Amino acid sequence: MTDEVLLVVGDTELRKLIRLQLEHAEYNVTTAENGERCLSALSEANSLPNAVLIDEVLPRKDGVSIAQVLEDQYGDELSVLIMCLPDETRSGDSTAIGIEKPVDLARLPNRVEREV
Amino acid sequence: MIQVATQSGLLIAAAVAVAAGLLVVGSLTLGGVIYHFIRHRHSQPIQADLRREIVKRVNWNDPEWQSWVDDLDRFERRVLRRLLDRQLPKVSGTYRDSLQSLGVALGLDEWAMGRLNSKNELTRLDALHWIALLNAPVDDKRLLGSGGSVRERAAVARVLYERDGVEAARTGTAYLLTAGDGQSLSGYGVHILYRFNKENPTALIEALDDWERWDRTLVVQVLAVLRACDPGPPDAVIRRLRPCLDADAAAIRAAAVQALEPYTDVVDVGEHVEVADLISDPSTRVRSAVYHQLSTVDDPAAIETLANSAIDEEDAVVRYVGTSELAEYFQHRKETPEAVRPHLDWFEQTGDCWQLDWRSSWELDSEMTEPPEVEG
Repeated sequence: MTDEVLLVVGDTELRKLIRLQLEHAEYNVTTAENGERCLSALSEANSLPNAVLIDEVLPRKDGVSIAQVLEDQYGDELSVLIMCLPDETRSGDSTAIGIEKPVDLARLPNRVEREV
Repeated sequence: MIQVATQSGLLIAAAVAVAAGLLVVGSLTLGGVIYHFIRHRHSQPIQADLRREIVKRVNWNDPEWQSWVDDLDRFERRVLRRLLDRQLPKVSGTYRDSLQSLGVALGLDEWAMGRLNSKNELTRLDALHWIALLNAPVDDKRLLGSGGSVRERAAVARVLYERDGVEAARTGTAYLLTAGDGQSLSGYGVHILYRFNKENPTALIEALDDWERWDRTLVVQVLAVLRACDPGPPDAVIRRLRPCLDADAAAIRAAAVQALEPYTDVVDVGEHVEVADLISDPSTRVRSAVYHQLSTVDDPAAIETLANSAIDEEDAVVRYVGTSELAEYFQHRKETPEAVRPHLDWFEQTGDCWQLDWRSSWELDSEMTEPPEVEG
């Protein structure tokens, strides 16, 4: 079965690029451009994706806050990966897995696979 | 009569000229908007196709960029260039390396090299931008000799950073601080200076020996960067900050006080710096900075000094800053000394007044309640 990833990235170009790269690695990708869309996509979905990949920098509510909401709401049911600058890996109180920015897209599918 | 007729004729002619001018400008603006709209719409599907092709090829062992690029028409190449401009800063590793090869296949490195000495500053900036993005090899002599304006110097430093990272900290820091004859840096220049020195500010600390030759703004910028960096050797830093604490400009003295912040936990700053002199500094800016520093030191003696000085502070706004630091310090502590409590109450009342009606400090001052009398 194909793994599903919810990609939450505000930057349009980066979102499109990551989506294509993950699709190339045969992931089923849905996207959201901000935290609110991410939360509503999850609440409306019939089943949870295997992973949520969130950019730390998002319009309105930042990625770390969204990751914390997801952890509170879904706990271990959901793998949350957060893309952040090297100094801020595992920033805030979130236990989300950090992926260093700028993202190495070549390695990203493997990274996601490891965490799913 | 004739004179009146001539005057009204001139007025009509001027009005017609203005109207005609507005019509031309309006038409050109509208035409430009329509042109860009059509071009944008036309480029969208091309962009999507190019993006898909890039991702497909970047995952091949040999992406064969050159043969692909050779098959693209002029418009597609232009769209591809814009895509690369947007994508390159956002990716790293082998993916970025591959995109850089694509940029070379597009001839962007040669394009940039050929424009490094252009007479137009914007063209030179664009060239430096592409040299940095593609990490194109460029002779240091040519590169370091190309920075004319403050923006170009930042762009040159960025090229050094993209090429050598923190290995170029010494060269990059020296270049940023000397190439402009001590003039202040652009915002991006400050950012690059920080990136060079963030983990090891040795080059920045040593450069401070020359602070008296710099523009006041540059000194403040360097001190702000130093404050944000990881701590360097405390003795070397404090030795260089001490003269800045005696500078004529209050902005420099305040920035020097703030630059001490990363060191207050590792050394007893009070042993090296005369805190009493700083507290009695004529500048409210400096005193505010000192109060903040005192509150960050987890030392009862520093807090006592802060409490005593903030209470006696003659300027209402600085008094407010000092007591707010005190309030923050005691917020998470179980016990607040009796002597301090009335001052914290005053701070809370003043804070309410401030939040209700934000005004300039002197207006606020007149509405503030008087601070409590100091006992003893």
